Amino acid sequence: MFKAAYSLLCIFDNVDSVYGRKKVQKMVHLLETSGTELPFKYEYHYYGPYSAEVQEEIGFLVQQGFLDEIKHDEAYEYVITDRGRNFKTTLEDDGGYSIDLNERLLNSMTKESSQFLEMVSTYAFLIDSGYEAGSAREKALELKPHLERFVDKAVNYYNEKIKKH
Amino acid sequence: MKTIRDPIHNIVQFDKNNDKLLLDLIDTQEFQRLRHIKQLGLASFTYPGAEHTRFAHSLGVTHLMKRFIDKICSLKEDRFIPYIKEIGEHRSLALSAALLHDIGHGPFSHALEKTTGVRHEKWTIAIIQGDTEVNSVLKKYGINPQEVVDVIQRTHPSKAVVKLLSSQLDTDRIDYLLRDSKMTGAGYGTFDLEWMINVLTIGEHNGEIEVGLDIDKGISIAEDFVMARYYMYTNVYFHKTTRSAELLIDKIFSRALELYNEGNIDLPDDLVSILTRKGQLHETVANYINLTDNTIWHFVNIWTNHNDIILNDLSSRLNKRRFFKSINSSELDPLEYWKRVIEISNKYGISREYYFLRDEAKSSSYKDSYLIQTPKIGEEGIEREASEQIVLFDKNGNGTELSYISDIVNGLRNKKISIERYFVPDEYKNEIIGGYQHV
Repeated sequence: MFKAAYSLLCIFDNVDSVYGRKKVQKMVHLLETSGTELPFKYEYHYYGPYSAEVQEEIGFLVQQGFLDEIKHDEAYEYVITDRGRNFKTTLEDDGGYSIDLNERLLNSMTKESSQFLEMVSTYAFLIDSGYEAGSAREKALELKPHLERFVDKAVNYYNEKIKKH
Repeated sequence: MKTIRDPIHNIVQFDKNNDKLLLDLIDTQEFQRLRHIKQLGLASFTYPGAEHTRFAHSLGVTHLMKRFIDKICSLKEDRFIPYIKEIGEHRSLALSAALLHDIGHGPFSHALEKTTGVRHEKWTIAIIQGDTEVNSVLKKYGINPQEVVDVIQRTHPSKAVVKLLSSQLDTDRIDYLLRDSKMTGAGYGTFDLEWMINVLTIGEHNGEIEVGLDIDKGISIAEDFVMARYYMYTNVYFHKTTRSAELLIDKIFSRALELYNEGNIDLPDDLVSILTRKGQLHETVANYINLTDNTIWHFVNIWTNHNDIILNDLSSRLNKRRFFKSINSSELDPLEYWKRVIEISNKYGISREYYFLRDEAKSSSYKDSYLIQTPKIGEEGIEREASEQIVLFDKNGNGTELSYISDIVNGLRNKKISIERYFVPDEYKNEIIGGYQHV
């Protein structure tokens, strides 16, 4: 019943905070790509893969007081609240909810910039769209020429941390 | 000339010489299969007329794509020349993508996707790139299948072509709004298509190519279009009866899969093949295209007599249209609601997983970020989300986003159209609500 809400609460409970909606989007996309079972559908937009469903579910969490949305000058920051933790624990204790979250990847992504994750996420999307590794790199550059400085690191990051073997 | 009569566009024509590629694509077994996939899934339980298929919709989108291309290519000013050149070069690609954009949809898309763990977009890619008749036809006519995928996935370098198929003012949603409105009989989704095409234009706005409308002649039709979408979402796509039916088929699939994993049920052979060879889309694409609405209905009917009490009950409810009843979730605190569900499910020994459901709007096939995103007015400094807009262009090619010049649309941007609901069996609804009120 609350699987989507629960999965996002687990993500936010595992990090101090996430700064920026774009970063949230890319983190969830990459977790999903890496094999974490998440229910969100992604489409390619101006900033790369984007899920309106993720944004909607976050809206629900904020509205219910499970997540704090803090507005800064340039971006929104998200932090799980005590009420959110309580709800998550209740779902686990009474409903048997659980998720196999790739915590290593999650913690690693919190340290990366949203622009870098945008490049990784775009590359991952292209691989999912049928591109071979080499042509996906070229295509990612075609789509994101302004992020060229990230491309090699992004491909390595994908291969090491995200690609399903 | 191949002439088809269509309830939305009246006469749809394909030239037997110039449109041979399209006619050959239509004749493939993968495309013909779309005759057996309903466009609106289970909406016919609410609107009995909604029996139209993805086949008819795909033809309609292709017809509209032709008309849009012809209109843009007829624009006279010099500033349109680059767009006309770009679109003209990609005409066959754009039409192929329009025809094939829904080729991967399966029966009851969402439920089947959850069961197989594969989204329909992946099947679209597999059908276009795999060992299929569609792939052979594309190659025969010199169309790179990967480019067709790129257009559908919105990653093709020709943004003009991408926007014609997928944007706020695209051929896909224009056709489905008109078609769904007409076939449901709901009447909300109508707008003046002929005038829209008459005032169609193209230009650049905020660094992006946008298919838009003439600012002097297009505001009213743009408003009509947004309102049509809004009403179709609230009255048709998010109708509580349809949503309840969709949740039920979703749970029927879940239960069937659970029983299959325990060795207690027979599933369609083609579905078994897909489930047992997960991740091998190209190898199982032939199985996938054998699955249609008819296949699934056949099994749902059989399952009304299955000895598993949950599968039997859920299938019977669907067959007899005894759907779960809705509770507006905004009136209930989720924590308290959850506690009440635990109490009642324990009291009666019923499964929480199968009988107490939450309608998560994300499960809708029809998403529209334009209407549900955070409004941007007065927040220009805040990070831009992935957003799409309807742009109106003046005679010099300067674009203005619709909500800046339309109070109606600006008002709608602040209004959420995702409706959160809980669904529970009728026999427990009063206890859930009553119990909650006493907490």
